[in-house]
Amino acid sequence: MSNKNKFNKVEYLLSEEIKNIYRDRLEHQLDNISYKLFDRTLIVILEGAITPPEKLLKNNDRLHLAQQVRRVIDEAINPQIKNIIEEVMNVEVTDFLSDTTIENNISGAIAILEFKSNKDSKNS
Amino acid sequence: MTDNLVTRGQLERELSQKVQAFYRSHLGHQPSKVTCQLFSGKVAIIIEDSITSAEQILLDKGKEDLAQKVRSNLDNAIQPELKQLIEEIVKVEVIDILSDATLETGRTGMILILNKDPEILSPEKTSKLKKINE
Repeated sequence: MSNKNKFNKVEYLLSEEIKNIYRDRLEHQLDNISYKLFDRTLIVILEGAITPPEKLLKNNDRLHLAQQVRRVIDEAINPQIKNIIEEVMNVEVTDFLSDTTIENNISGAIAILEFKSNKDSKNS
Repeated sequence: MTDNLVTRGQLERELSQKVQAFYRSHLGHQPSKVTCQLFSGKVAIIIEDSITSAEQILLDKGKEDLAQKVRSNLDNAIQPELKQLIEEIVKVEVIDILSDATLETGRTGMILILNKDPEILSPEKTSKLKKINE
């Protein structure tokens, strides 16, 4: 299988799992998930990440409260997304940087990866 | 017209250099490495060793919460000018900035959402130009 096909399969598996987290924990369906892999960095973009309660808060001049809610949601969900990346890609995520903007309904994450084979060869 | 266009790699290098200089001039601290990647109407910026000495002292003294607050406020304070800098380089409007930092690793990551892909010299045109110059 070519590297491109392999990564397409990885993207599919990641997307299924991330969508499941949003559905199971937030009863919310994401619009789209996209990825970019370069060097040892994976970028994940979640479009349509904001839930109806957060949108309702924002639309009723409670943006600050909506942002506080999102911070807690991200804190709860991000460790799960990090674990999924580690399991699906067979890597260790050594850093996970993420942010969400309610106004644009978008969430993005940068995962710094340590490939298991690299790590093993370094240790040997 | 391709006269003023640069390749993706050139644009990414220019972004990295300018962002590194921006950090030095605004925070008095030069990050050890800045990596920029352009993809599908977005720019990812990864800044290694982005934490200032003042924040490091807070961390060393066990004031993690204050250090986190300082970092978050510094990021917010520099964002408008950083946005302007990126817009000047890529010549495209930045419509959103997602930004986060990990104090333990000293790494800052940003994803800038552009309103369209920047105009760059396509790989085909680059190889044609190389052939002409040969």
